[in-house]
Amino acid sequence: MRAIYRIVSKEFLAHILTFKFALMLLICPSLIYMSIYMGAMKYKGRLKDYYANQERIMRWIEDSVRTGSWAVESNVLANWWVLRKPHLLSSLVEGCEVDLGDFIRVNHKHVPYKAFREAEMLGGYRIGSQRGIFTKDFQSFDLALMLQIIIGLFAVLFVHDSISGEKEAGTLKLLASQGISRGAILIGKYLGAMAVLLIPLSIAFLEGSLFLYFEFGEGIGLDEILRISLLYAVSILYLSIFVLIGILSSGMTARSSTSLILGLSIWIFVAIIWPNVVGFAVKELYNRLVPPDKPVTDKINLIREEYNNEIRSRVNPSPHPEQIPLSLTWNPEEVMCIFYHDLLPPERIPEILPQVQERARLAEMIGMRHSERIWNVRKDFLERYPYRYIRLAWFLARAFPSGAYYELMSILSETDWGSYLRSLDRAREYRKTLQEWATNSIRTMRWFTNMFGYPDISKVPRFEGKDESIGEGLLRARWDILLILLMNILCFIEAYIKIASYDVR
Amino acid sequence: MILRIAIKEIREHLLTLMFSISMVFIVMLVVVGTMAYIQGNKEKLKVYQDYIKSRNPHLRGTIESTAMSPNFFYKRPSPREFCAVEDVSIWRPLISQLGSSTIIGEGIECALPWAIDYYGRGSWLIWEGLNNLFTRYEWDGSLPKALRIDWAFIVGVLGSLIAMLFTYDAISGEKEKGTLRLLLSNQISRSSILIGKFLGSIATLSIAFGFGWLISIIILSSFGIISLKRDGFTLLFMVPLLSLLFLSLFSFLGLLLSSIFRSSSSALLTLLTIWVVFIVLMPGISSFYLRIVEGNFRYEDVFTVLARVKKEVDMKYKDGMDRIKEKMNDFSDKEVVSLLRGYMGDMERISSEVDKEFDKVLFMVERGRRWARLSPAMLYRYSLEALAGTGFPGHKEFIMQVRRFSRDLLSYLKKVDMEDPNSPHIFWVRGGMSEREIEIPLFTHDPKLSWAIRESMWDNVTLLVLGILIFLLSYLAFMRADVR
Repeated sequence: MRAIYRIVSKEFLAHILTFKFALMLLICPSLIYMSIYMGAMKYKGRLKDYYANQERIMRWIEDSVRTGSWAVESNVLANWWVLRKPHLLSSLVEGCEVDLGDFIRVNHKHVPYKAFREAEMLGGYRIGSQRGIFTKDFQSFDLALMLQIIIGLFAVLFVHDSISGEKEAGTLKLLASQGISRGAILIGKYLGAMAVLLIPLSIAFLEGSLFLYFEFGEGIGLDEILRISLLYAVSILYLSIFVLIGILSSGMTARSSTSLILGLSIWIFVAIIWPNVVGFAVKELYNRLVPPDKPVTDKINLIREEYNNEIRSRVNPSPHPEQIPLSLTWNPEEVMCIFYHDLLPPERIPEILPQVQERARLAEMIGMRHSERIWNVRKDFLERYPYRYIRLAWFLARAFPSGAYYELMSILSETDWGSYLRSLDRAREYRKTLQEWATNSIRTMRWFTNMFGYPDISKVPRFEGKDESIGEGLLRARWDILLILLMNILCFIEAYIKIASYDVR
Repeated sequence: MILRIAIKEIREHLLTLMFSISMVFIVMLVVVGTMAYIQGNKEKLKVYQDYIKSRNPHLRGTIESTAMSPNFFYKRPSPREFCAVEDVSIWRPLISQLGSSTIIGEGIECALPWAIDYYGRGSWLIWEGLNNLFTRYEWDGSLPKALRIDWAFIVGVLGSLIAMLFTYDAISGEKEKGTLRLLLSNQISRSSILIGKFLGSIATLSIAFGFGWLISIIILSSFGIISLKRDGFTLLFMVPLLSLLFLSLFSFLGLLLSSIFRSSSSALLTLLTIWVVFIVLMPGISSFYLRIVEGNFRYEDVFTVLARVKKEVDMKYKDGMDRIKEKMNDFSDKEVVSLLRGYMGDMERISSEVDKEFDKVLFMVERGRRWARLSPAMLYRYSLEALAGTGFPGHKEFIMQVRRFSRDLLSYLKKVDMEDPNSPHIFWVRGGMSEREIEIPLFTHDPKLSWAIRESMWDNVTLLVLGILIFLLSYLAFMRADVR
């Protein structure tokens, strides 16, 4: 135990007093600051857009209600949108949040299946939306990507000569002759290097937290602080993998320059080559293997046909089928009741009203049922094609530490793909409250006529975007956490084997 | 003497672990990149060839039908794309329609034939994709972030690293070993040592990367994607030259830092830091710039431009509108005819207005790219993009070609219309144009090599200047270095 402590302190002092450490201490904070700054500014922009879009949607609906063109409650829901709120921690770990859409369409007759980007929502004829296609040309950078690359680099640079360098200097045999076990040497060097490398890492996270606090003071709560500390813990685990890899490569050769090259090659492969190869290959494969969604659209059109037929037969069996099938009624008195109620003689109203109400109720029920069917078709397609390949891509990326690290970081920041799926799930749950409201509203006359006044938008239940709790996030991330721990253990065992069989003379 | 030093260096480098590992990486990346590229290119090529085949080269039509019907402009997929693969979403066929107004009836408004169909009939370029191809790409954001594996990646990202790893201990390593003073005491000039070491490393690098390049060319020509006859100049000359320039830039950087630092490990550390900052971090700045600045950039929609121009023109012709409405299709009234001509002529402004808005987008992307040029790897990539005719420069060039073609076609149609004495010469109005039949000229996308070289010139020159600068600095540093 004392031996380990002595080795640790000696390693620590030896590392701290090098030029390497000074340079790293100088460079890291500025690099980190730049990436956090960029990420935070992007987040700010997206948050501003989020509030602006909310305003826009509300104003649009309110304007239409006031000008009377949507003076019927059923139409208020027809264009009801819900927005995905950007997460604060996306300034640290961008994840998938930025590239996926924000607008989710939700109403009692439409099951949300995807979040749309602004460009898609407003149609491709918006010139400004075309800039979106070029932004894919530019890589975006966040803290997690930066750490993913430089943690490994600095770890290897510090540790590459821990075993082979000592052997060249001749001090390794002296150490071994002191009766210190090989395992103790390994642990001592490992802890020494970790202690040194933790300093810039801690500075980085401290810097990040302070910056976020000063920039977005109100947004930082206990939850955020806990998440940031979890990100910190994950980064420590990732660092330790690379330290172990460095020690491992140091223990494989007798010359420190060779072990440096070996360590660097492993770093190049793990942090630079593999993530890009996997991402690129799966993207290409994916774009080739996913069939066009024409069969899906065909099926959906079929269902819509059936919906129209059902409405025509049960709700509005008009003798003029060339009419738009979704109109509620062909009976002239009922039409007057809905649209020109002042023309209807008041004694007829008590008889006509319930008829219209019944028709409306039937129509909406049929609509809701068919929307479920449409959703099932879409869900089937999504599960079978895009989702499966996305899962495959992330699975392959996880094969090496860098992918697992990035995924873990994005799960903890709620910016990963799973978080996107979760927001869609919550939108679907919200839809159930909308359905309840709609069902209750159908019973009133406000649903389909403005005879009793204009619709009150504030009565519509609002979407509460409840964020995922840390516990749920950790549960979702359990396999990644296990994977990183496993990689640590594996590297440790490998390093131990190499050092145990190392020729120290 | 230089030659002997160079040969000794080459022999040494070839025997190192670094060389074998880099060969493995290069070959692996080249194979993955070319295989993926072949698959992608086949699909694009198929779409393009289907379109070409479906065209009737001797189609005839009236001026009216040519002017008012949609025109599809397809961008030819560049065979040299494997140098700098573009994101597939950029490759879209453009759809343009030449007619700027149609007489459509919109419910109550059918008495007014001047409603412009906002669906896209206008002499402007509108982007539209083949929908079922592109709904797939919408999920790209959910996939793990990755750079494209193309030649620009292999040399730009990996090559710079390897070049630095070969030369980082050229001077400082020899100093540490003690052989530098032995070398210099033999009256071998410092410059010959520097040049010799440089030649040694660049020769090894060209063996490694040249091998990779050769493999990719062999694979691609065996799949018939590239033909040496057509692209020979670019492929066998320009791109290798450019890659050599880029790699020597980084070799000299390695030599520079090797002469400055006394210990190889500090040199290596500084080199790696420079690499991380300039190759990994810098390209992100342009995306940052784009996202921050573009948020404040407001573009007008096609509709808004349309509405605005229409309002202005309606203002101008407000007095004449009633007369026009009365005698809609009666072209005998001279006043109506001249009013119509004036009105439609003014409406033609829409195309230039929409082009202006669109140019704003292009300009913004251009500015973002300018920021990215702080990184030599990006300079290299952009130059390759221009040479390969892909990516943003390729697309910009395609748009320019389409615009030029549209303008030429329009003036040709007008000319033919003018020559016809029977035509009322009122363009854009049904029945107002000549009934003559013409052979409709077809558009083929033809990226010229001269354009490609001109486009990449700036980036090439910058790389060259940077290379010379670093060479001079390393020369200076080595001259002044303490060799004891």
